[in-house]
Amino acid sequence: KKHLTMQSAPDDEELDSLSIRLVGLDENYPVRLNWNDLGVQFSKQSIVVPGDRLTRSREFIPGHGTLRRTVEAGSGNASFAAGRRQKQNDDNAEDNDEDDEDEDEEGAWELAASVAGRQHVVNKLLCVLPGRSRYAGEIGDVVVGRVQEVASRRWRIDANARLQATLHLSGVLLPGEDLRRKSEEDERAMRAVLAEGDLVSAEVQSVQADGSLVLHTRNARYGRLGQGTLVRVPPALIKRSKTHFHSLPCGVTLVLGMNGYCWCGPTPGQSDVREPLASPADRSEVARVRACVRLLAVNHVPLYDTSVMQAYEVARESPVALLSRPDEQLRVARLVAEQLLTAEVGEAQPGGGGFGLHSGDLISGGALSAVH
Amino acid sequence: LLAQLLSEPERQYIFDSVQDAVRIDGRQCLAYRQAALRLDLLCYATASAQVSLGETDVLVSVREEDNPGATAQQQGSTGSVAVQQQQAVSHPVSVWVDCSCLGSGPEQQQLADEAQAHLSSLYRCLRTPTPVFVDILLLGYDGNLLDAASIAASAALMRALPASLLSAQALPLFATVHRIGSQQIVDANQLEESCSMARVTVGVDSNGRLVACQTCGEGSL
Repeated sequence: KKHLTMQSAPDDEELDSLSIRLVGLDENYPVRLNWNDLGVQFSKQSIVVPGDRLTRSREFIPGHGTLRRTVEAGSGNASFAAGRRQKQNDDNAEDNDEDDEDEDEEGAWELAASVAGRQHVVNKLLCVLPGRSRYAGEIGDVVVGRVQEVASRRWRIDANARLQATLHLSGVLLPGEDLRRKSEEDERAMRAVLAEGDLVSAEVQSVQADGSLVLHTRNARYGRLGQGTLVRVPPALIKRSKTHFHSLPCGVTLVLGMNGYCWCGPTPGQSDVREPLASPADRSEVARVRACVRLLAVNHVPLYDTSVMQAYEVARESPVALLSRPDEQLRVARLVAEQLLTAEVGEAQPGGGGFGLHSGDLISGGALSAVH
Repeated sequence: LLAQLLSEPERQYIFDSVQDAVRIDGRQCLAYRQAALRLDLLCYATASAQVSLGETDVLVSVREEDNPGATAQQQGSTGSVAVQQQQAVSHPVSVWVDCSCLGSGPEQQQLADEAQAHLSSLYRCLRTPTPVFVDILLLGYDGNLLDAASIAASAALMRALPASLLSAQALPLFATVHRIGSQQIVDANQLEESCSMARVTVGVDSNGRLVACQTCGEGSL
């Protein structure tokens, strides 16, 4: 392969012409944030790959992402057939009492990882949480979804999960009503509430047995999303926080759905019944916030209001179009990551203000995706 | 184009943003995204190039047919056809587009078919003495497939074709202009393409000559 020198774009070039970078296979590629450069170390025991032995102790209950396999005494070879059988029983295994009896008494067994991720121990439950997986959903999560289909008394919603989510007609709060049974006219007028393609913010009401989510919007802050644009990021990067609806001081509303769908739009005024048209200045701010969310996601920085605001502050002076360039994205993300890490170090109380990253965030969310 | 399912407010927001000359990613109407070009990635191709224009990622491999006579004899059923093909001095560039990295649904296949048809007609301006096969693999899509493919294909063709051929006819670069409302934008991303009414793609060579032109869409330009 020929190695080419990378010609970086000159600083004063016009942004309205096409600029092409010649990228060679050298140290400048890939242009992404390397968390190790910032001094973040991962302990060898916490991160596992498929096949790694987790424990031989019987006191642990196998959770998600683990499998049990028998180890023949003396040879140390694992019996993979038994392991595969166990894995099929293991997907929701909280208790292994009713599993195969033939291997319980004889031979040693060990718990091994079946996915790549970090170990997570809660009392006796040992599971492996993958750094990058489909959004699974938990009760109470705020998600942003897109209506795919209007069915009989329900909407089918794409929430970036394995299966389509369901929003029942009984689960929406129609404007101008408190609580009433939905009638025939409501059923026929479903498209007036939410049509195909509409974006909606909702909360997870329950998780069905097959893993599909049931959503509801029975709260004034949920519902159809208006003017704005959607950004899709890996779900693991969204840090769980008290509120996912952020009204940023620059006049932008940011909704960080736990499923990785983030929505940026101009904050609507209170008085108008009809949504007013956004001004060019508002659009520029929305574009800047959108670019900040994207550059943080691309560089595996956990996404929450503080990190997005810090990225916005760093990027406030540059033209928005510059924030689409990988080198500029790296520069901003690196500054944000450094600020978040120093805030964590200087943080005295654990519950103070939500500033800073905790090492759990890095490992569970942002940086672990980078490891992959 | 790969149309996206969008809500009406989203579509209106994109439309109004373009009218206000502040696009979704903050660009001006006539601004391109930054492109990164990598060369010589595939050892089995005569030449290859990869272009990433934003999230649109295109890998192009150019293969020059080594023995055109042999190919013609295999293809032709009669000897006269083979003789005719050996005597022909110019072949059009054969373009193939593969979108399997995006998925296996009907939309992706339609995108591949449309892109192949458009690129084949745009590259009719280029003729080579030996058959040249340009294979385009789409690794990521965020709009403006034609321009990205043309950058990569031109880079690869520049390395594959002999200099004598290149000096006689220049390789075109395509520029696609979409019309949204009353504004024209270049380098539309996938959202903007879903809202555009019509587009025109022009091929311009290094001398500034217009060598190819193609329109698509229902609006007027």
